[in-house]
Amino acid sequence: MTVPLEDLLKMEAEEILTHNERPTAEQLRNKQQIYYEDVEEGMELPKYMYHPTPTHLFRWSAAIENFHRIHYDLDFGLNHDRNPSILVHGSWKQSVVPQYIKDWTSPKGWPWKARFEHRAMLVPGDVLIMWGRVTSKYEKSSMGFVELEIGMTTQDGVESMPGSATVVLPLKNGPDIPYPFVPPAD
Amino acid sequence: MPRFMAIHNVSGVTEAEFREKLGAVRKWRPDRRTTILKVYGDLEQGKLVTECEAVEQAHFEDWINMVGWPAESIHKVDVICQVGNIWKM
Repeated sequence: MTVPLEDLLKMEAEEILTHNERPTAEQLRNKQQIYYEDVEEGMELPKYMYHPTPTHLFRWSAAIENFHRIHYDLDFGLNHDRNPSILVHGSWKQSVVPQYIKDWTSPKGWPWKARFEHRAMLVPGDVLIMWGRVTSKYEKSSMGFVELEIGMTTQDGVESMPGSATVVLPLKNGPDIPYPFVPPAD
Repeated sequence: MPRFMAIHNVSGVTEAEFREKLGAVRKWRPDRRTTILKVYGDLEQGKLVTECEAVEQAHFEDWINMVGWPAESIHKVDVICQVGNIWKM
């Protein structure tokens, strides 16, 4: 049972990190399917915790070949852009979302779509909580559609990435979700 | 956003106090951009120099009051030279 977001935000940063539910590759390989019937409105998804360091940021800059200095050059970040530190990449946050909803729906579900906004600046040392909450669900064409509210909140309760997502889960006695997924006609 | 520095006289300040009070800096965020950037300490002489990026000087003064290290003077920083690089504020 995942710890509710509001309870996590009452904890010290170090304690928040102990509630990380990000699965290992092995756990993902053996993951039990969540079915549409298992989901209820208001249900919270497992929380993924991140604690980015300058090394993580440097690695991400190199991996995606984004060499904007605000992400790895502290002097430049502080004195040119006047940021409080080097900044966590929006593109990294963006990469977390599909992974997060894919993990939750796998192995047979489908993370259909997501939207989110980049808001607060995040810096090394922040503890980041990737969270999701079921806002509604409905059946269509023998598939289970689940609407989610998602976000990435700092240990201080600042929501840095408010958004929403739609995922598709199989019904317990329903057919497999088609791969690749084709949305049903309205 | 302006940059400030302050010179403090804190006779008797210890390394333990320095660590304790500055350990809380990460949590001091009147807004997302305001932060204490650097603190130099001469503990033997009880002299500290702090550098702060803040929306307004009042935020920095609040922090100074919070840590209880009275400032001998507070200055707005116009220019910085760091390892040969000049940064105009």
